[in-house]
Amino acid sequence: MSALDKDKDPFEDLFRDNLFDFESEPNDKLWKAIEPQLPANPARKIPYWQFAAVAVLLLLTGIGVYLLPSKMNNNSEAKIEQPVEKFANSQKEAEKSIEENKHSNVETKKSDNIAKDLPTEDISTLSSKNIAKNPNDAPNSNELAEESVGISSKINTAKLGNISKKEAITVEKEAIVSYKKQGVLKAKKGNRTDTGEVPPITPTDNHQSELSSAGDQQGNAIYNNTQKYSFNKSNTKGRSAVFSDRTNNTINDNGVSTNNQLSEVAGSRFKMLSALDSKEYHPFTNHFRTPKIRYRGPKPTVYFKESKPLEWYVSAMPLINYYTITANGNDANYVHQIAVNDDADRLGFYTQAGLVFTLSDRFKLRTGLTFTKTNHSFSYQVRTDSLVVQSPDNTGVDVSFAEIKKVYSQSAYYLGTKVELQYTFLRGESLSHYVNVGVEGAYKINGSNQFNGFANIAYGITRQIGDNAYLFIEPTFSYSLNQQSDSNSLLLIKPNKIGFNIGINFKLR
Amino acid sequence: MLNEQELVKACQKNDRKAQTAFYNLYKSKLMGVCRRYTRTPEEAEDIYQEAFVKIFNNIHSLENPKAVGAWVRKAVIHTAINYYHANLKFQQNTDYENIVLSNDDYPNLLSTLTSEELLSLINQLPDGYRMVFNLYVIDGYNHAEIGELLGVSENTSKSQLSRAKELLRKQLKQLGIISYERT
Repeated sequence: MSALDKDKDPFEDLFRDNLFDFESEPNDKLWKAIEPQLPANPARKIPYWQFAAVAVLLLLTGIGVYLLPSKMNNNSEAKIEQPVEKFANSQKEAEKSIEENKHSNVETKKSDNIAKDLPTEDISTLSSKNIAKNPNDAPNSNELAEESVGISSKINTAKLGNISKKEAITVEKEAIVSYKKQGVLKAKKGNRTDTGEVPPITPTDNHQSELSSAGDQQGNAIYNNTQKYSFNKSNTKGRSAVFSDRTNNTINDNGVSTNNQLSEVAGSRFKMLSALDSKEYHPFTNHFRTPKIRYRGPKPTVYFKESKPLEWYVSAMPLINYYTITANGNDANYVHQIAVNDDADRLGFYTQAGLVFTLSDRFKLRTGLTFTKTNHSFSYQVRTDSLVVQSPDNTGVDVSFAEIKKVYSQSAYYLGTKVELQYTFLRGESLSHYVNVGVEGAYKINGSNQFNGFANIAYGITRQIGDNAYLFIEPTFSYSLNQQSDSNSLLLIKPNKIGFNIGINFKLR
Repeated sequence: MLNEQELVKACQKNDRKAQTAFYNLYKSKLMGVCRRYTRTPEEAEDIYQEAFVKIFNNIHSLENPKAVGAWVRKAVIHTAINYYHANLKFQQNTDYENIVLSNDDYPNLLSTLTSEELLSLINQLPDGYRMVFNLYVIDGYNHAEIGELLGVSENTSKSQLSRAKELLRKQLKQLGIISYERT
């Protein structure tokens, strides 16, 4: 600019002095026309504290997800223990009542004589006439014994509370019928081996006469008593006494061994019947009527409690950027000749560290902080709507649109946080294979502030290299969820990444 | 209140409030430049609008914020030159030979001239003359630079300047001004 140096010309000074600083007030409408065309800030500013808050939130969520299932398991175990304990107490009470009943029966037997329920002559008949010696008794006895065992098992089941009272009563009735059957069979055959067996139901006169008749015919019949024996709850003690005495008689007689076994079975059966028949049994059954309580069986002994390991990890990944480029020209600017400046500019580096929460046998949740360094450089040309007029030889005029060469290059550092779900689909003896799917938010910490989101997917292989250490290798693909641009916003770039992530997991517990 | 440099830095981050303040700071000066380089106020507004958009789009490339005043002025001038190229018409050949310098002795009315009146004289110049005159006389470019900017030779720039001055003198003479020395 040599104009100022040239010779002073008053004519030129006149214009220069008056017009160099000439100002003119523009119309206000011009700003309204300009403002929409101004570049907006492409990056939404997110303060660092917000970014840190998101990272902490993700970590807490991960911890919560990890801890919640185990806590719920503990609660459910506690809830189960209560009914089991209640059941155990009820069972003890029931057994106690049974024992008391048994003792009372025995005491009754001792204090009250058998003669109270049966005529003295019957007892004497039972003891004196003794057991039949007929060998034909054996098959019948066996048959009866088998039946008795079957019924006895049913009663045992009832005692344990696995069936309802109604079912128990049904079983009891079966037992009664069985007793009756026994009596009839034995009376018919006249092969009495058990002299003390009295039908536990009230025999009819016909039955009684039948029994008496059979006894007369065989000469060694047992059922000579003609007195009615009523089977009801009021005379349980008497019945008990009869059975007890019958058993004693059998033992005293030193009869056939089969008869002894049968007697034992019958004795135990009677005890159980007594227990079911007693009033003390009711609270126990009522307890099981409560629909809210479910018995799930005793708590199994756990020798090895299943644990959900918590791990921390650290990894590093060299990466190469590849881009999704969109030309963002307008009527005044035509963007073309876009080229990615290769060399080493596309290479970057990615490192991360965080925690791995084991959710289940197959799933893990991985969350942590990340640091990324990426570079990119693009060159492109913008053809503006301005005309360039050139006259190289002063003979003609060349008119062309102005071409501007531009370069958009950036070296960016990102600090981010990520959360990923890991699914192990193949677990071999030495290697495990898994896939990772997750999202990452990264905040540019140098230059203009930008927030970038990425969707990450990776295939990983892991191998144990120490007591608590695992090496993993993950080819990773990271897809950018939003676009970056230079200040002109003429190029929209998605900086996707491909990397080879190598890291180590350490088990914390 | 931000100073000029802080304003530039804020504009480089595309801060809308800073852009508004920056616009208000330079709007009158830059409109004055636009008025000099154009024939009509409407053309000046076109250039003005385009110039400001370019300024805000390229302000990130301003490495030295202290020189922002000269930079925005230059941006407007270049926009005006582009506008000139875009609307270039083959200018009518003026019969410069017919221009005869007047030697009439009019009273010195120089002090009565306002900037607006001088501006209107410039506005009436042919486009090419006006461009060269503005660039050389007011904005201080030399002929080599003007030739490069306008895509013409240096000699063309010189001759156009000479003819522009003659036209202005003629117009001033019609206003009764024949001497330009301030008293």
